[in-house]
Amino acid sequence: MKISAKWLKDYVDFEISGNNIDDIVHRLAILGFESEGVEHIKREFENFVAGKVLECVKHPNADKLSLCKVDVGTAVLPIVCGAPNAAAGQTVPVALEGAKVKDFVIKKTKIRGEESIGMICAEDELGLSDDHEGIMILDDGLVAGTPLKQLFGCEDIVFELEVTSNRADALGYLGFAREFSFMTDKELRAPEVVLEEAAERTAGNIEIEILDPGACPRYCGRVIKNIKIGESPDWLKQKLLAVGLRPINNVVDITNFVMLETGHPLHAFDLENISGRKIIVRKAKIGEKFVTLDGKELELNDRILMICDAEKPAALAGVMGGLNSGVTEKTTDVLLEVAYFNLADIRETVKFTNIHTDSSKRFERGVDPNDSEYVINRAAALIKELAGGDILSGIADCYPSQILPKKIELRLSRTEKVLGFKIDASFIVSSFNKIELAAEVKDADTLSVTVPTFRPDITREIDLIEEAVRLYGYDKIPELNISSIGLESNEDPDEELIDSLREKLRNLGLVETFSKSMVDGKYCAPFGKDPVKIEHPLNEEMNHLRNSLLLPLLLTADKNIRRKVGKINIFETGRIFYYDKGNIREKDSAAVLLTGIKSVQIWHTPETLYDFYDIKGIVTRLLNDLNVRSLEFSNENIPAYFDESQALNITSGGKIRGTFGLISKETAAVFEIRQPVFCFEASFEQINDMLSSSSTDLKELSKYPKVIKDISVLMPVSESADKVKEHIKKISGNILEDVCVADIYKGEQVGSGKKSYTFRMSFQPYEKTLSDKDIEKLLNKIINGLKNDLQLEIR
Amino acid sequence: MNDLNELKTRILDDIRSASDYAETEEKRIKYLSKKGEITLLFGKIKDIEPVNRKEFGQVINDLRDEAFEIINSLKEKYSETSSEDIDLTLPGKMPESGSYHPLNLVKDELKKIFRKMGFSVAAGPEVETEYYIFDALNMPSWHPARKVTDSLYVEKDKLLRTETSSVQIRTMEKGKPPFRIISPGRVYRNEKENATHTAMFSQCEGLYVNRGVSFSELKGTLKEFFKALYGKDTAVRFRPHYFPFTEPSAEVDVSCFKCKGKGCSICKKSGWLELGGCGMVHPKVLENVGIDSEEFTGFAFGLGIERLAMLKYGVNDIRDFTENDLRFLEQF
Ligand SMILES: [Zn+2]
Repeated sequence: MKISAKWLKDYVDFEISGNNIDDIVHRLAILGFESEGVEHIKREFENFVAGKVLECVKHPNADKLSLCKVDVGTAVLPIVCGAPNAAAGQTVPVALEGAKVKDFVIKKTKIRGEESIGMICAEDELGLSDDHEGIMILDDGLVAGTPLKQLFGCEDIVFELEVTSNRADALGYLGFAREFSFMTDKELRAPEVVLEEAAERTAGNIEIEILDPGACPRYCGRVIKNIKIGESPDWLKQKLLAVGLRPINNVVDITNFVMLETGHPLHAFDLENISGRKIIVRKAKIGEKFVTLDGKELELNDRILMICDAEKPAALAGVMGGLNSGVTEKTTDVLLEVAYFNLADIRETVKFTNIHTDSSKRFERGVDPNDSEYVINRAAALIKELAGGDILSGIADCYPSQILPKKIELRLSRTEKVLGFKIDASFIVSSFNKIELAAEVKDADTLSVTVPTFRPDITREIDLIEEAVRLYGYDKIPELNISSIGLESNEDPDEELIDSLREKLRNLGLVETFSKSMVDGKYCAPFGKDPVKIEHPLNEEMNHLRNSLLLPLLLTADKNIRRKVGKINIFETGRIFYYDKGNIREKDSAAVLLTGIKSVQIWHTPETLYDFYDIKGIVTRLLNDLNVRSLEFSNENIPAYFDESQALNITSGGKIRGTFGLISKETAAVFEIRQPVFCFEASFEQINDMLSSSSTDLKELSKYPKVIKDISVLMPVSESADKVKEHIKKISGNILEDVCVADIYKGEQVGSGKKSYTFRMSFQPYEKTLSDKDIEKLLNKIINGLKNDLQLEIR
Repeated sequence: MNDLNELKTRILDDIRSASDYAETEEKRIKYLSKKGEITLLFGKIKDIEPVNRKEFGQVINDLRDEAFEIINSLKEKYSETSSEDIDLTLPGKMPESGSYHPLNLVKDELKKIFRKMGFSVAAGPEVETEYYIFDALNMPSWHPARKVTDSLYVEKDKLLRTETSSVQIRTMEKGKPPFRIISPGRVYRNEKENATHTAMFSQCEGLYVNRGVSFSELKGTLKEFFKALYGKDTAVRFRPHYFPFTEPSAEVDVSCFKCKGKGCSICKKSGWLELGGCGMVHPKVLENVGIDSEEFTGFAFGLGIERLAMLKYGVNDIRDFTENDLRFLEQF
């Protein structure tokens, strides 16, 4: 809401200037009105004058331009003008040589060969509005050469205030001034209305009938006859312009002005167009047609509240008037409407029509039903003052059941309990009274507060407690500490696991990513799980929820490959979503992705690329770090989005606990990735299950030296290292601490179809030092075992 | 001859067992020095029968070569390379280090601070029903946030949560006060994306319900938190605001950590940064979960994690966080 400091001064005698503006902005914020912007308006209009167009002919060399001779008082200037509405006889604003229009300075010039000294301006070029539909036409009564400063010059400070949605009252100057007067401790001066009524009575000229008093509890009408529609005086135009409204004509401007002043929207009808001289407030009929002021045709339904005459709808109640019922230049008799509508009904209309107006905005929040007389009289008096005419005697007021102020009790003890400190009762009473909450002491602990109908936001004690502390000053609230002793923990069980997993993955050199949960549904397909669709997505890139964490990781990989990032080693934790037997499931998951260059060539190492063993190593290390013992891998039932030939499931207790390996070519192609990508994915549930089935047994440390031995085994390429390892373990028994593949050789020396694996075994005795003989015996046993049982050749 | 091969294996294994540079050097002296065992073997050639001499010579030659090779490679491995081989200007062999996502770094920091203050971390579903997102939180049916077009629905009455307050409701429903929790997590709005808005972002909401919890304690708690985050000189300003689920409500401004309140480009010259919303849990909300609002009071607050992260790391476009450009992420 825009508040002009100059206008505000009409109601509270307090000067806002460059000197105190920062302080005012701060104090308003503390009172609950944050400034979203402060604009210093200074319109000097130097070198701008009113001019008379003496002559206007077509430019000889340009179709769309005209040549004007303009009397600017001191001279008659030739001016080339591009506006289609320029004509002889007009009084227009002229920028003389040296005037600054927007960002350029007017100079003597030639346009298509014709001399031009000065410029005839449109409203936007004067900074008066955004209108650029043609040159602005001024009042013919102006003398040529009148400086525009006299007409439009002004200096003002305009605040753009945020008014929270509960505060309907502050959407009018008077309501805001009430708060401002409290803040500055200056008296609030509401304009006095002096009404001079004609003898003719309103009653015989308009009849009001409310068919839906629930939707429209009150409707007031007044008739003013014999008015003259014309331009508003400058003071009125300036006020509207200061807050960004375009002046239209005196009657419309007055309704806007009074709405801004009181916060209560009002509407003016041309009485001629109200057939039967009757207003009927009713819900629309299903299918009933209505054309709005701005020419939009609507087909209504029975939830839309309408203001109708004896025959037809005349306005969308509280939202917008109709095309054929409003005030025009020819209007002589007007019907003024000041009504109070039920908030929900206005919201219904706004929702249905999607029309948002200054009026609907106020009715939606709730206006004061009981200020209607003041509002309608204020507008009528102004109309008589500015447009002449006769105000008929009396208000046609239909108010079947009066809405009364509420009485709410406020306990001082409760206030102190909620706030944590005491506010004196006397302070509460006096400051409440300043903003017209009538408070009186009921007993030692209780205040009785009468809440005026302009504060519909206050409905219970807690609302009064808020008012008390707001007026006391949020800046004076003490800062008390709470005991940091933990209460019974409500810690989520996954929380610790998520963090420890993240820490371990990061320590493995991986980069953590954070992706949107929403994805393009086309990427969900490879991952099998039935994805969850978003009903009204912002765009196709966000029409589903991810059903796998591999999905965002693959998208991230693709984007980074395109950016020519060579090494991609990333992980993410977060939720995945999918349908399981018709129910939406959410699962916390973790995933890793490796692709591209593992290490670039540098003086101590050649370039290497990520391969299957890297993802296997990361998974093994991760699970080891998580204390998962006895890892089992299986190559059965690999999900289709992995390449079966290079992927394994992690299993325990016969259940799959996660999968890792090479992403299948088909899946990678969906993401337009053409290089090998290695991934791992498991849900926290799966990881947790592995943890619960493992326990840490500390190994005894031996006093005796460890012995390391290598044997090289020649075997068919189809044979797996695991099988040999298992056999070595079986033969050796407990003395074998570890066996691993130290070297792999394929090539001429071993012949085709064969490979040579060097197994490095470490033997750890616990009872004695192994003698050479012991070792030889052990080695022979192993070698014979491999030869005889597995038919392998030992090199 | 078998004896000889056995000897060879024994010597080589013994050399291999050297576990550091010094031990390797000892082995070298033991076997390859002038009086070393291998060197001495060469002296024995003359004692061998001539027919076997050639073979014997071959074996010990091989043995010597292999022993040298092993010792040299061990020495290289233990890399007590002589000083003249070290080029001090070559880069070190850096162990690989990963990185955390900036949003999670901030989230982790919040969790750490609040845990110290006695809060535990709670979680809940991201797809929620209208009851947990709106009704239980005293959001009237006409509230603008309830417009179907403003939220991301996946089914009738099922939508992506717009606040993590739903976690507070679920926590209160499950137990009995006192409660002291934070619920950091993702929230969703049907919002056009630009440099300051995204359809998905992260919040950290907090809740403390107990006997005698007060507005002053809320201010004190948030001040403690921001002091831990931005330093002990940090000031906190409350401004009245309106939220349906809290009353009294406030928006929280924190003195700008960059200019210390003097005014700079980060705080748009105001000296204050708007960092969250808070208030006393509305009695209606407590009543909705069956808590006696006369006996118990509570406070709640919400902080935007992206906003904190943007300020902390000087990120100007909120979309950078989910872009996952590794060149960006690797800097954290
Ligand atoms: Zn600053």
